[in-house]
Amino acid sequence: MKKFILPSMMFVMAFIVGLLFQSHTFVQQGHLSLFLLAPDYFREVFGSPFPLSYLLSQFLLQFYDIPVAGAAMTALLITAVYCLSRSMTLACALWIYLSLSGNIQAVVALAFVAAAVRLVLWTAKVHIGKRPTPSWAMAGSAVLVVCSAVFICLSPSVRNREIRAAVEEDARQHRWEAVLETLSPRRAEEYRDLLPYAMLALNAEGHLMSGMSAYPVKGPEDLDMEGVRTREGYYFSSLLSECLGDYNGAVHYIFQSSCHLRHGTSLLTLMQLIRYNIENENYTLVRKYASVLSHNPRNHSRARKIMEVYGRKEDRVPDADCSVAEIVTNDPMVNLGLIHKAGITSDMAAERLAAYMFLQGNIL
Amino acid sequence: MWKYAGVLLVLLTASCGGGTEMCPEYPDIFPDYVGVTVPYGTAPLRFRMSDGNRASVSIRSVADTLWYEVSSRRVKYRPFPVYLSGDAIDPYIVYRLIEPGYESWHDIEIRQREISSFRERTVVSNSVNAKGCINCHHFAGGDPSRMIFHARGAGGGTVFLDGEKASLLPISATYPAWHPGGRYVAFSSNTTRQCFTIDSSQPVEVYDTESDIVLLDLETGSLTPVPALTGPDILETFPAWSEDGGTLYYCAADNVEDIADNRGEVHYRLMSISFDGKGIFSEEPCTVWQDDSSSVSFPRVKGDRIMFTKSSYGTFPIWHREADLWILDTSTGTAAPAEGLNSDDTESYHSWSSNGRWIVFSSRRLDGRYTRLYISHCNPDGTFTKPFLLPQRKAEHNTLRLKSYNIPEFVTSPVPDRRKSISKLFDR
Repeated sequence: MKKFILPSMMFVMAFIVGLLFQSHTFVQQGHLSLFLLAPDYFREVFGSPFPLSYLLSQFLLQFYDIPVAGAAMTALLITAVYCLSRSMTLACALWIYLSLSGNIQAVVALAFVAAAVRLVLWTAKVHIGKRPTPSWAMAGSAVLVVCSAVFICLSPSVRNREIRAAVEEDARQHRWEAVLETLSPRRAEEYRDLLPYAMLALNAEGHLMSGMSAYPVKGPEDLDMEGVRTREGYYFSSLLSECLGDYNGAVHYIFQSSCHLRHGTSLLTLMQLIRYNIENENYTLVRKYASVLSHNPRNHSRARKIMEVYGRKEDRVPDADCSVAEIVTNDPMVNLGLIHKAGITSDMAAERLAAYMFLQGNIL
Repeated sequence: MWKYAGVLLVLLTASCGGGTEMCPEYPDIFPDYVGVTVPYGTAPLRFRMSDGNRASVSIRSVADTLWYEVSSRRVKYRPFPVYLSGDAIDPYIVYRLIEPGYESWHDIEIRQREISSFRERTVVSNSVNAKGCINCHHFAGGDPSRMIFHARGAGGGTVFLDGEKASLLPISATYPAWHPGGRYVAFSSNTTRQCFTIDSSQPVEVYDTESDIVLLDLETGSLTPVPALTGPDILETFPAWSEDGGTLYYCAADNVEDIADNRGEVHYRLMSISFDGKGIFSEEPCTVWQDDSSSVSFPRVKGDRIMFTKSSYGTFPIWHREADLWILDTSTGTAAPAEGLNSDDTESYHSWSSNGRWIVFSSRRLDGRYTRLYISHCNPDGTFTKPFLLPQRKAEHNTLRLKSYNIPEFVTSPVPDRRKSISKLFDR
């Protein structure tokens, strides 16, 4: 019975910490992962180093969009490493590393190694860990677990990742109040690069002009992430385009964002592309992306439902003359005007334009 | 008891033996291989029912025709033919695989595919130049031992592979055309831009603000502008040699101001200029074909025929749904759509086989976004057979692949594996 105390403690602590302090991080990790039962995917995976650990990590990650599942699997992995290695120091070190880096593949790889070593030792009839652990050692291990938990809970790096993941996911789901709750004016001082999310949330709620004065906005550059050529920057631009009704822009930016990912795509990319192409009435592409997504075990049923709903819908009739279509510029303010000129009108765009003009000093 | 067993046996036999409906229509299959013409020895044509149901397939061979008998859900469809052509086809196609976003990318590979099997091998990937862009691969007359491609980014340039030799020249030209004699390579030197549209069925437009033709002499290493094909007022691009090397064909358009906003006014015409084989062009180019309401791209010469892509305007037809393949007869100067090859969606880049009997071309007819490759047979009378989608191990592979096929080129034998020598060029 005693031998189950430490593993149980390890699992419970890791689970609770994960659920309370890393739930959004797990969701984001799940969304940015990709596991497909498809030939190109396996070719890419097996053409890269450490394919088995990568494959297993991606398989697990696809379930991380359920925070409870993410917390449970992470806890299970760390506990498995402890049980296989009998080293609480190693398990706690890996737990901290995983929390700070999000590199689940490394943990899976180490679990493989530990399992392999265990198997070799068992085959060679070398017995490890059969002697009962003295009480002082158990107490020390328990303290180590608790200290690791506290470290993770208080770690600025973990908190940082959790806040960013929460903001991205809440914005994607249009949970604007949650975005504003996370990005309060005080917190926005610390997370200036996330200010555009707060502005987008205010914009979506119709309070941009009245609300932005409470935030540390210095200029029009705080309204968007134009020129931020990172995954995060492009991802924000895709959400902004979506909110403004420019779905061509949303598709373009989600492609840009995804090029920073290992396979050039992810589960989130596929889901967003489905969403945007539905809005664009491009149902052939909706069916294509749903077909790809159906090769992901976690999303198989959801994808099948999408294919049933949109299975027979006809694409929108293409424009007769595309040479006259408005084209985007590098100036977000000009683009708002062009979106309006293209016939996409919204209160959000109008308020946003007013905010740009105000911040540029064009409105007294 | 035996009486009931007998009744049961009769009922079971009745339910198993009958109920297959004969359908006079061809089966609705994906890919659509009904009535296509394929070369002998091509990889098996794998397909599925378009409605996703399982099907059983049996194949009968009668003379030069394969008859496919398809049954699905107790329906037996009319057998459909696949015709076999005795005309040889170049055994490999080389193409680039890239995400269809075009502005950014993750992994880019130039790959070769054996037509008689499903084997696909990497020729070069952008891991050699730190994930920069690699593009515009080109072979001298379909000879895989003589290859050019561009590698963009820091330390990039134009890679020349000639037999065992591999060299990286600091040339940042764009579309290449290797002279049949082997000594010269014509390039277009383009300043290319992209623009993205709002709420249009054409999300991207690519255009050149400047482009000229330059000539590289591989013997001397000199790269010189072609005087008659240089200047800001005319955009010259897409060089292509005649088979005897005596004529350079290319596309040209009058440059306009604010080209992005006025892109609908840019119409490329097909031009030619004589070449003496020793580095000298004649002074006056000639217009071969033009249409003021359309634009010519990718001229490809085979005998007295030039296949080109025709679109409404511009120089990047892959984003134009209306882009189609046309054939010009140089003996008469008349051009017409390549009947049977075109669809309601984009047809674009194309390549002749070395014997001129087959054509491979890019098309977006499947979904409007992801370019796929189609092959068609050219009959002796110049007509084309129904094109067939490049066969894959499984039909769904055409859907699951999230990259576009780019610049398909026939080659006459496998491209030698020179990844190590290519990699060394970028290690310096």
